Amino acid sequence: MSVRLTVAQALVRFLAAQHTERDGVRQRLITATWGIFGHGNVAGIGQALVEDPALMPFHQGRNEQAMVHAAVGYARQSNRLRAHAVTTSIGPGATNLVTGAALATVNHLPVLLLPGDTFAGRPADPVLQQLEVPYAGDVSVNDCLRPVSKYFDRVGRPEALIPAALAAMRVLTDPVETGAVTLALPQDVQAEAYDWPEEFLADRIWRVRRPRPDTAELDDAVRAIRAAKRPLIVAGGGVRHSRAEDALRTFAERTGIPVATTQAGKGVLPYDHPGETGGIGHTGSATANALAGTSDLILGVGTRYTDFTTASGTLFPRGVRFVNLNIAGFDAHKLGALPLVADAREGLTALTEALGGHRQEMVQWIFSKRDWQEQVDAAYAVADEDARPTQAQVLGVLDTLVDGSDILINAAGSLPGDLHKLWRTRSPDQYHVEYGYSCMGYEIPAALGVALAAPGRPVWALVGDGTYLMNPTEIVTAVQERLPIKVVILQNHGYASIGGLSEAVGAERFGTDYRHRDAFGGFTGPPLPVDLGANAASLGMRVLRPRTVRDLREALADARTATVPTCVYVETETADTVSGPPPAQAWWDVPVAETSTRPSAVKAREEYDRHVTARRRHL
Amino acid sequence: MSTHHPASVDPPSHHPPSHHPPSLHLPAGTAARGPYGLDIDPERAGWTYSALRVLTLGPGGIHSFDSGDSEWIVLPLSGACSVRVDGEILELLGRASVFDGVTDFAYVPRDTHAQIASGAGGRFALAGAKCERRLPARYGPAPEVPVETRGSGNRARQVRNFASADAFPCDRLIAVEVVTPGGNWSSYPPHKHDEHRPGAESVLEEIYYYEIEGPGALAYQRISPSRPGGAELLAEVRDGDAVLVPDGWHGPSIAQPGHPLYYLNVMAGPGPEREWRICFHPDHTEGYA
Ligand SMILES: Cc1ncc(C[n+]2csc(CCOP(=O)(O)OP(=O)(O)O)c2C)c(N)n1
Repeated sequence: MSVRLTVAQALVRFLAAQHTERDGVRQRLITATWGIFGHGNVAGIGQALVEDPALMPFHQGRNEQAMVHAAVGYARQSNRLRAHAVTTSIGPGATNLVTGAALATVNHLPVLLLPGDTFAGRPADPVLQQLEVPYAGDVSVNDCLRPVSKYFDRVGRPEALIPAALAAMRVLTDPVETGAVTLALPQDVQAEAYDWPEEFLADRIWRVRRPRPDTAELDDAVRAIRAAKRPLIVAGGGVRHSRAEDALRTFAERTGIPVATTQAGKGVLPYDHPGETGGIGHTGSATANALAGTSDLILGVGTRYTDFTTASGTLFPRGVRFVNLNIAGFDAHKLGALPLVADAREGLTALTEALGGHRQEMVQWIFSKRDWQEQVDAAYAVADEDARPTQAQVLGVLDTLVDGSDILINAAGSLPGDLHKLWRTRSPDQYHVEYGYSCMGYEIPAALGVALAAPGRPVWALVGDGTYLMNPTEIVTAVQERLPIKVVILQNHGYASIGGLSEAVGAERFGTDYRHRDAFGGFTGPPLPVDLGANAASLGMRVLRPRTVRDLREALADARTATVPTCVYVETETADTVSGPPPAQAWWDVPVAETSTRPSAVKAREEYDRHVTARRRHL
Repeated sequence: MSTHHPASVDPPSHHPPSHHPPSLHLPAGTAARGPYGLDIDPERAGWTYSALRVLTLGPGGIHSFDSGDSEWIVLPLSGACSVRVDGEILELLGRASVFDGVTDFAYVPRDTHAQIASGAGGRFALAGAKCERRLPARYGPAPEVPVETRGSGNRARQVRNFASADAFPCDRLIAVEVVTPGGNWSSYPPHKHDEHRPGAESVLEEIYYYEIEGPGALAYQRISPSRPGGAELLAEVRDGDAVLVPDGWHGPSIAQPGHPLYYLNVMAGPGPEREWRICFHPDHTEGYA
């Protein structure tokens, strides 16, 4: 038996019938589609979505990149077991996906991208928005999506959808491969009819596997852990994707081995768990970094070891041994590790069992953890309730209001560092900081995706003013969908983070403040007269404007329980006279000009050269 | 000896005035305060020097305190811990329980800040005494604790003199542990140290803190007055209880058959010398036979 449908209609029917299953729980895989219509998808996918509207929930986005961020937020909050699709027109609508796709792929988070593409039949080259390259007739702008996609296919004929769609689902649900998956859909093919075999459109289940460790690899790992005197666990996002938090907790409690976390891993243990030592690396805690610096064995679980984690190769001592439990062989082999290729939960459970009662009594770091908490308290402390809050104090006020149900979203600026250092994470999914791609503008749309995946929970998008300006568009969507996200805009008139970095690397804050031009052409004049609160209000948000810490307490408490999308717009105090979060506890490599006529750069280079000598290669 | 009045409630009248006059017997939990399951300070006890706290830490737990005008010994009752004081970290290996043998311990001088942390958690005694001199923070190793068997037959018991006057230097604090086998008597013959008689008797305020093996197990503690209106008590004590001995003949401590009895004695007083000089009850001048 077969069913006659257009390619677009068949695709929608197919997507509605795909499911994941893990730990006995079955869920629909593609639960909604985001879209912005243009001539490249309106008559194909657009028509298909309206043909049978019950099949596929639809969300109207405002910016293609933002739609991918929303889908990524949704997928992450769903532990990669559910995902969204994104449909776009051709040309700019399609290339606007590239940043979002890269973010998804870098973070190993599934999104299905369905950009329209130029005619497969090419009856009238060039059509509107078509790129023509003289050396190749088959290149379209969608090819930009190839390097940022884990699977890319262009459906040049109707029946080619069958293998393409199946391959797309395989990759989306593969815990090693997953990321952005792109099916480019030429606009003529989308509308073409075909007789689809019923089996293609039937319900299908994709098991999300939990591979167990190889016994020889497990033996090696156990031997190394037993032999270690000062082991440390570095827990990354893979622990969360696998829902291995309980297995990690058991492992840590049984063995007494302390746990440090990457940005993606933060929260796998609550902040007050006895084994939790805080964030690791450039934005990490003194406690975790001191442990890392004196460790003889690192058990990396679900981590990619970015330069922030390794302090650009300077954090871990010479001679340290790595054991990497990772579902991806690629990551398991990093840093010359003994690989333990397995699902994080399965791997940790197997390790706990194989280690028997092996236990490492390490206690001294508890003091350092207490010291660090005192530094956090100091950064949060408010001397004057009637003063303008610092950014750390904003986090401190939020800290007093939230419980484990709140979810905080951030991706770029000075907040990821402050949050990694300071935030007291109360539940495994509270800390949602996208620091794989650290993409300004991720926060607000991601908050929509998270809110859709976790209805009823307070979802906070924390954004700098620079970040807000880059991508406020999905506020309109939040208003439209009545998603009561909370957007906290921290106004400091420019890029505080990059300004600080700029100063440290001898670039003298050049071009990092949002200020009027001064007499010499620089941007050191008065702040620009922007009012981002008014901007958010103009997009339909309810806006609160606290000016003092006292106001802020009220505003954040109000926003937390608000049932409409609410923005808290707060000007933060940035004067050097106020105490902020503790400084970086480990290095980050940003190369400095090797030659310069300016003293600041010369000095910064000297500092840089000193740090560089601490780089190590672990082989 | 006067007739026995099991007076486990009201304090003897000669005690210095206090807003909350203490009873001499403090059943487990009744003297809890803040982080401490037991917290006896001089003010609560209605005296001047001796103090005892018992702290329970969960896994990874940490506790900070200011030593104030007192010196302290951190003594693991069960579990291991680390003590950070004056820039040093003293690792105490501790023990599984008080019946397991001697433990190492840490000395925390007055006028400092200390932190106690435990990886796996445990129960820790803080024996304290108000004092004048500031001695250095130190580690007290378990193998250096003098262990003595005192008394014979059914008076035999083990005394661990971890902070007796000759075993470990402190300014005023004296602390020892006693383990009495089930069915035996200890603190016997009854004795006192409530008068300053140079070379013969010293004035020491004393706290007993009990741990008893076995669920529901009990022991008896007797105090008889050494002067009219002096301290008097006959109490059935249980695991975690404490008894205050401001003055008076104390003893015996009677262990229930089959249930070894542990107690920790914390003592300090005003004497010019730190010394434990006692006087046996006139009916029992035979001493520790
Ligand atoms: C899309 C994008 N462009 C550029 C950057 C580089 N970048 C990192 S942080 C930052 C400034 C962020 O400014 P703001 O959001 O105001 O936060 P603040 O630094 O003031 O905390 C920039 C430009 C980035 N991460 N993402």
